[in-house]
Amino acid sequence: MMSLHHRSSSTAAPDLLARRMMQDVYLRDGLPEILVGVILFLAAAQSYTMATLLHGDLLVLKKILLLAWTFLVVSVTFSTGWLLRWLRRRYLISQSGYVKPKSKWSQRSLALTGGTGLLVIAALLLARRVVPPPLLYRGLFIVIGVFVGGVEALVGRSPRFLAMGALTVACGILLAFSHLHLELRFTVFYGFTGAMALISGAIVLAHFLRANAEEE
Amino acid sequence: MSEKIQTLAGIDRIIHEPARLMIVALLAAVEEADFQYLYQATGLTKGNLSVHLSKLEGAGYVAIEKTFRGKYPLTLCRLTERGSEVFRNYRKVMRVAL
Repeated sequence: MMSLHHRSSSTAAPDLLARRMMQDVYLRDGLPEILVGVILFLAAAQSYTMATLLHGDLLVLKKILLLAWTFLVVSVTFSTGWLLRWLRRRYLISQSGYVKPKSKWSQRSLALTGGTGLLVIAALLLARRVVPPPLLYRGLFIVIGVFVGGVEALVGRSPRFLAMGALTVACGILLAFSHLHLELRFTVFYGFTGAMALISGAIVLAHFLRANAEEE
Repeated sequence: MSEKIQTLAGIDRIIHEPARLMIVALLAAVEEADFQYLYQATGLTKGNLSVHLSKLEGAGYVAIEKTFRGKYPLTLCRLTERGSEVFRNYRKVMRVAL
C-alpha cells in the first residue's frame, strides 16, 4: 500500500491524485484483468475460426456461425463494465467496497472515441490500397503491439503491468516478422495477451481475497 | 507574487490536511462511495478514516448515510454542495498560489 506521504505529495493536483487512487482500487482485485483475458480468448477463438472454418462446404452456415460469434465477442466487450460492477457488488462488496462513479461518457468523449475509430478504419482501408499486404501486416502488428503494450503499462503503472506491456510489445514485433497467416497471427496475439491477463488477474484476485480474509 | 502567496493564509484547513484532502478528492470524483471503498483507496487505517470522515461530516462537507445493500451494511459517503464548493475554492487557491 502506498504511503500517505507519497499519496499526498501531489496536493496541487487533487484530481490526478483521486484518479490514481481510483485506478489502484479498480485494479486491486484482478477482476478487470480476468474479464479482459476472457474477451481476448473469445477474440482468439474468433480469429482461429476465421482462419480454419471459412473453407469447404456449408459456407453460408459457417459464416452465420462466425457472425454470431463476433456478436458474442462484441456484446461481452461492451457489457464488461456492467459485468464487473455486478460481480463486485454480488460477491466482493465486503472486500472491494461500493462506489457509484460519475457518468464518464459525455457526448464529447463519445464523439471523440467514435471519430478516432472511424479515422483508424479509414487509414487502414487507405493503407491497404497503397502498401503491399506483407508490409502492411508487419506494420500493423508492430503498431498494435506497441499500442496495446503501451496502454497496459500506462494504465496499470505497476511492475506487473509494465512486464505484461513489454511482453505484449515483444509478441507484436515477433508476429510482425512471422510467416503465419494473418488470422493465425491475430489468434496467437489475442491468445497470448489473454493468457497473460487471465493468469495475472487470477493471482491478484487470490492474493486480494487471502489478504482480506486475514484482515477480517 | 506575495499577494498570491498570501491567499494561502485563507485556505480551508479542514480540507488542507492530507488525509482529508485524499478523501474529499476521491468523493469529488464519484457520485458516492462507501467506507470500505474509501478504506481501500486511501490506505488509511479504519480508525483514522473514521475520525477524518467525522470531521468532514461535522464541517458539513461530507454527508454520511447508513444503509444496506442486501445483507451487507453500507456506510455511504458523498460530498455535499458545501463540500464541493470548498474543494473547488481550495483548488483555485492552490493553483493561483503555487
